[in-house]
Amino acid sequence: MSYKWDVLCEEGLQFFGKMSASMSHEIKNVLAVINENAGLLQDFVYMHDTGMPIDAKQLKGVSQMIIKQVRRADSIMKNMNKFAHTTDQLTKAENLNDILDIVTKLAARFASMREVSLEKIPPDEPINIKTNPFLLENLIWLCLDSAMDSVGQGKTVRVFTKKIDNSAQITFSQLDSMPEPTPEAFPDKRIEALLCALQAEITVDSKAGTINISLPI
Amino acid sequence: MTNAQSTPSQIKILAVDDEVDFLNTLSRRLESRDFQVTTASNGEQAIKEAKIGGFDVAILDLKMPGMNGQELLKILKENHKFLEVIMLTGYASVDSAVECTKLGAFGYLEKPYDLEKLLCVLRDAYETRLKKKFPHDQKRMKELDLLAAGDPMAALSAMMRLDDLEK
Repeated sequence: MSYKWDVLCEEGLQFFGKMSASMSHEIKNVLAVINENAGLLQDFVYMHDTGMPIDAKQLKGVSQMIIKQVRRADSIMKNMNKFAHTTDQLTKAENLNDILDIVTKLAARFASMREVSLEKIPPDEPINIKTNPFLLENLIWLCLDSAMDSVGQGKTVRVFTKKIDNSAQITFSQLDSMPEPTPEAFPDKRIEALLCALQAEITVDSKAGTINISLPI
Repeated sequence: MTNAQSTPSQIKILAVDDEVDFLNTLSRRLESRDFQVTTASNGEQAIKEAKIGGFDVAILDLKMPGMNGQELLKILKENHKFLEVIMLTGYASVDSAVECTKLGAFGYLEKPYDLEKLLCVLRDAYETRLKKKFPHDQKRMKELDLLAAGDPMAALSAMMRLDDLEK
């Protein structure tokens, strides 16, 4: 089996860059809210200095807003950290749901921008697989990206995992408006290279509105 | 969204951002400086507000779900000749700044920013709007040029008084 390293490297770097840019953009949004609230506190101090009483309720509101934004930033950074650490080892035993969780969280902002909802259904039991976590994340992202494009505005993409015999399956469903894929468009050379490296298979069922990734356990 | 009753001497601002927490705080801070602020959390809502609002300046976030800031900028400039638009973005890039300028944006600021900086851009945007609205009033233009060099809030108040004389 020959891996297409040039394709994997190029796509991997683009994927990492896209996700990092998205997360840093979200952090900037959080900083902007904190900055406005810090400014609001300065306004209160200025008003106090000019003889107006400070309302404790207003201060509490600002404090709660800052706490909310710090928690939001912490959650973004935790996911960013988990994502960055998936490049630590080329092969690792992982809970498939944890990998899916990272990617769906990374994809949340892209979904929101397209006005698409993502729904991740938790599995009944953990599915442990030995895989290259970064490449698998990249593959899940590319499928999710296609799925979000095909459902369009206002729709929901449902994602779930299940174990079938000696394989683990990731399903993207509710893709009702998905067109019949043409071989040259889907899977493209990037997905092909990732499938090859992960020894995975992909099936697209336009009638059922699903994309299935099958992975060896 | 919020739409406080305006007095004749208030500058009317339309602020559009999908980050509602950001929008509410910005609106509160501008209102405490005597601006009249109407907020919208998406492009469609902003277009509706703009039709009824008679705004002087719009502040738009560049990246929003659905209709993005650039698309909204284009529509607002096509339909509201004298409306000046300031774009806000998490990450400024030369390409998007050039694109927004081509579409008619007056200013382009990166978040987070100092409010003083936004007030300066607001002052300049409002001054430009007045100059476009009253291009032949040379005396007024000279007064505006003198005012624009000073404190943004004081200059804005004075500009509003001049503008009110025309209303």
